[in-house]
Amino acid sequence: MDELLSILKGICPKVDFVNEKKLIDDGILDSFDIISIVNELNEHYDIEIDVDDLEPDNFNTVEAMLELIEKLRNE
Amino acid sequence: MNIVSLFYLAFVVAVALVYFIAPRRIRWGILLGASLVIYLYCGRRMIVWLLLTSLSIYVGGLLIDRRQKRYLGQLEAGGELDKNSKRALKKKNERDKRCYAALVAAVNIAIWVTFKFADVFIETLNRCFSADLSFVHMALPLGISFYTLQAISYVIDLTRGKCEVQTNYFKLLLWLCFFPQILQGPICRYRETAHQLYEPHDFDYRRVKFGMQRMLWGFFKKLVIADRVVSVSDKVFGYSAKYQGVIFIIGALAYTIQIYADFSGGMDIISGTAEILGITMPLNFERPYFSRSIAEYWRRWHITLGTWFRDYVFYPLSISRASQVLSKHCRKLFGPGIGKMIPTYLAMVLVWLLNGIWHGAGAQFVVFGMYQGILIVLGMQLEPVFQWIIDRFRIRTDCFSWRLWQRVRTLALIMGGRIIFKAKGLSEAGRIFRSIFTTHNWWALTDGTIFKLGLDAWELFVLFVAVLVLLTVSILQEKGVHIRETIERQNLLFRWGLVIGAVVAVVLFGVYGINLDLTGFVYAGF
Amino acid sequence: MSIKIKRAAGAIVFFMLLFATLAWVQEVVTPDFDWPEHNRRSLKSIRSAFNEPKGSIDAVFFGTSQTFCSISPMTMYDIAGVRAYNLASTNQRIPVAYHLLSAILHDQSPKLVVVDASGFFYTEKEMQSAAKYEEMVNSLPWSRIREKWTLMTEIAKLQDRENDWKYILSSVISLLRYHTNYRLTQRDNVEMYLKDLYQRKGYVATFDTVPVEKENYKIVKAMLDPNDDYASDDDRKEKLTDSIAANEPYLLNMQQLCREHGAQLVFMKVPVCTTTEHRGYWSFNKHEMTEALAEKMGVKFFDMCYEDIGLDWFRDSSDSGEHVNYRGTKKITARVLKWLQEEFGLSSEHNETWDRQWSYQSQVFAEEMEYLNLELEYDLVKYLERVREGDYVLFTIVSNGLGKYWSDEAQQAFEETTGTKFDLREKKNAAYVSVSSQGRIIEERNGKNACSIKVDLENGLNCKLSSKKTKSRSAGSIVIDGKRYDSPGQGVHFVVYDNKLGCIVDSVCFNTASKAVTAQQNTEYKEDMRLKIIEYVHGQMKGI
Repeated sequence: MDELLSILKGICPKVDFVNEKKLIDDGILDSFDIISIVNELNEHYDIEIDVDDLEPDNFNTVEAMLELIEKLRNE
Repeated sequence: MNIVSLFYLAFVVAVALVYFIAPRRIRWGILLGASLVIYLYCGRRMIVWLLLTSLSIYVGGLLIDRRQKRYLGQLEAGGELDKNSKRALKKKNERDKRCYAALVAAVNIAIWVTFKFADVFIETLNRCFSADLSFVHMALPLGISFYTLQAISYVIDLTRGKCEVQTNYFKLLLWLCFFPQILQGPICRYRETAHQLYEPHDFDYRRVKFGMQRMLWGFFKKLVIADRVVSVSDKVFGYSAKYQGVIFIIGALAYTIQIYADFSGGMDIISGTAEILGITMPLNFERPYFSRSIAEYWRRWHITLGTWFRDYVFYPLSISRASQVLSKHCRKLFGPGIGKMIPTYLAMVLVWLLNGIWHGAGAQFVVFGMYQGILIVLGMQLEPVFQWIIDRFRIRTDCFSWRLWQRVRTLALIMGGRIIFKAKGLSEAGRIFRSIFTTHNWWALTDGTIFKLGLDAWELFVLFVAVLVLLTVSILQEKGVHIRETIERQNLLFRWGLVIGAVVAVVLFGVYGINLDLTGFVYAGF
Repeated sequence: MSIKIKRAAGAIVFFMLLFATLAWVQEVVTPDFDWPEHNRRSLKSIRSAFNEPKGSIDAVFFGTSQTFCSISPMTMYDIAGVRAYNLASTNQRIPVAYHLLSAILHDQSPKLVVVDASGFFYTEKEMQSAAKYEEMVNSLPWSRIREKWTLMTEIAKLQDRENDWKYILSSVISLLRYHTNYRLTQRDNVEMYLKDLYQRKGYVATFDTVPVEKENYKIVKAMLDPNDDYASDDDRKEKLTDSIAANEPYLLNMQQLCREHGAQLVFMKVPVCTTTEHRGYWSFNKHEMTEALAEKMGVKFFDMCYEDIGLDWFRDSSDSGEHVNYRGTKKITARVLKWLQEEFGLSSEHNETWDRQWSYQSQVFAEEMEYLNLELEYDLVKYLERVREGDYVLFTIVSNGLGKYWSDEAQQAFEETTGTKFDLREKKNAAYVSVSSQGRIIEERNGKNACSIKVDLENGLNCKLSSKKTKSRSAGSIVIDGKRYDSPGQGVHFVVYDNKLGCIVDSVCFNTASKAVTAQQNTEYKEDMRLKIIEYVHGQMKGI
């Protein structure tokens, strides 16, 4: 979790990832942020986040992102 | 067909009546019938292309679904397969599905490109090979630019497992050609609107009332504002040789107002119509001129087009394998900071290129697209610079004046884009820009020239008041006020007085009539 | 259940209210009352014909603008108690007259239907012009919706636009056509709509005096002369024959209609004095052809161009010969009435309700004409006499010098009217300004080349008068409350302010440099004035 948080903070320092629960729905992260995050996560965790995975549900909270990462790792 | 016409109103009333009276089971059929009637009435024989597209996605959809089922069957049958074989099967499945989708998409895009760019193509041929082919001047099938994108979104979503396949051809056809949206969008996603269309809806007093109010608002925007201010923008841009400097700013402002009132007014009418019938259309405009950056603007203007490009071009491109590889190379060449962003920027440039082309077949539209893209990229890259300036000069940013400045700045950039879009050609646009920056004729604002730009003092006054009303409503909405619900809570006299007053205003001040030239919707030719 | 019913009822009431509001707006914007300057037919005054009590109308008139300027039904009523209505309209085509007749016959049973031959010579093509028809469609009231629709579809057919339902619909629902009139509406139409103007019975009054030019007078005489070369030289003869032949079927239809309703169709021609420059000219050829048609149809024809009715084309015309002013109307109306009475025994039934309404309206009419009459006076001496008689404030300036023709009588009349101590013929009084009232000077000044005064009157008016002896357009001015009222031209300018009405009632310049001492009016203030007159008259009449 902390690892993830530090990565996210590195991309968007101004966003409060811990408390925000609607990162996508409320427009806090825009498309560029998402791309940057996805690319970064792909590289860091050696996973393949696909376009299909770009659902708001998967990125609205940090917890959701973590879940996604775990799921993809296990495949 | 003109949405702002008695004919359309009468049609909607008729459809609504039949719809609510018909037995629930066939209600979606009523919608389909109405949509086909409209299409035949307006598009005539061009309906062939619509049917072709719908057939292609129907068949494509079935194929994709079948492939998916085969894959699932394989998984089950395979029992305890190891990770690698599972992955292999999954990959093959994905690849096959994507093949089908790509094929369907390619066919439809080819059709669309042919219609849209036939003449451009011929012109290029003529120029390159000194040939003398005559132009074909093909009329576009009604709504092709919208339903093509919508159709492609269906097959791709199906591929990604984001929606269910539709086995009933007619139901799929309905989703594609639903009459309010065929004319100017919005570009809907299958999972958003399909089920709404198929479920029967009952007459709900409140919902129908809200729908009608929304339509009234759309009529107001279109008839009173857009069709009035078009005189100014058409005059300034149509006879641009006569004008200079600040007049072009007026013209750009006029066109900016016009295109918003026109397009969003049309959206209101469309959404209102759908609302009466029980269907909620996705939002297409969200007070775009209140944006504080170009990036934000494109999240508020023609939203469904933006999200389409984002979901089906931008995202796939920028998180694709190729993109990651490119990213690695770029980071080596240009350093980590910007290197990382280059593939994203490239994807974006492509998106904007396509966006521009979608609007029109011509160099200026490409430039229009690039203009937007470059501004966004610049905005992003220069952000640290702006931040430095803010910090250095200790400029307050958490205040109204700063936000106002951002909005004004954004609006100015948008108006620049409008000039590119509306001018008769690129060189023309260039001349206009030069004139704006070099000719300083501010006196033209006060010496009465503005009363000769197609609207006299009285008309300008009406326009001014109407725009003020629009501005007020927009500000209220921006602050989160739900206009229709607020009205609902007021007392009878106010409610009725307001609506009757609005109808009278539209009838009285609307720009229509046998002797007047009705302009069709700006986006209807797409 | 009950909330559903409540809602349904509420929705119904709402829509009724909405349509009522739109209908009211339609009434307001549909061109309402015309001013002669706008040269548009008063649709409302035609519409008002449909508000006359059922069966009360004894005679109706059809024709063009010449007709509606020449025949004043209220004058007929004053003379003989006959109730007529003037349904003429600008450039009225016979097919339009036919439909109008058919509509009016629904509720009225006139004994005489008089059609002016001014409209007999529109060509086939001209009869297809839409504009006049559309005005007519609007002038028909909603109770005559069938005629409205029929007229409109026929018009559409004439123009090969029968399937253009948009055209037809927007012509019938005048709101759709005239909604842009919110610009013009403002005071005029709204006020006029709210005020009664039925007392004019379709007559359009003008008070300008613009004499016929002498040469034209001679030419017209030749045109009417059967023995003159003009008759045989006229290369329009063929076209005229075609035109009247094209109108014939419609006239026959009108005759048929009349027969069915027990009325008699009659032709007439009101006097006109224009050359072929204006299409409304009259000539011997036209006379002959109309007579022939009348004989063919067994209809009586009364051509007043060949009657001596005492019309003075130098005093009685408002625009050099095509239309007559109120002075001329009185003469023509009296003559037509006499003919109708003698030839056809036109008379009227007594009916208390009808007569009560008509005599009230007659009084209103008389008062209006009274106030508007000052404009008609074009003789300098007589003019000054009339100003003396009323409760007026007179503003006088001399612009660019008086000229040679300021007569002794004029000087005497001027002295009596204003109480001036200056003799305007003297050179030292070449520039002159004054404000006077009721025979007494309030302030005056003279000068050899220029002079001016500034006066604040008791009644609240601020006036600036200036006079110069220069050959330019700004050789003097009369500015009252910031607005300029003098007329263009050389000579002595008068602006007359009526104290009772509280507005300017005349602005005229007598050109004393020309022997004829012609009068030239400034008509800008007229609208204001007319409204005031009507307001005032109605205010006075309220107690009656």
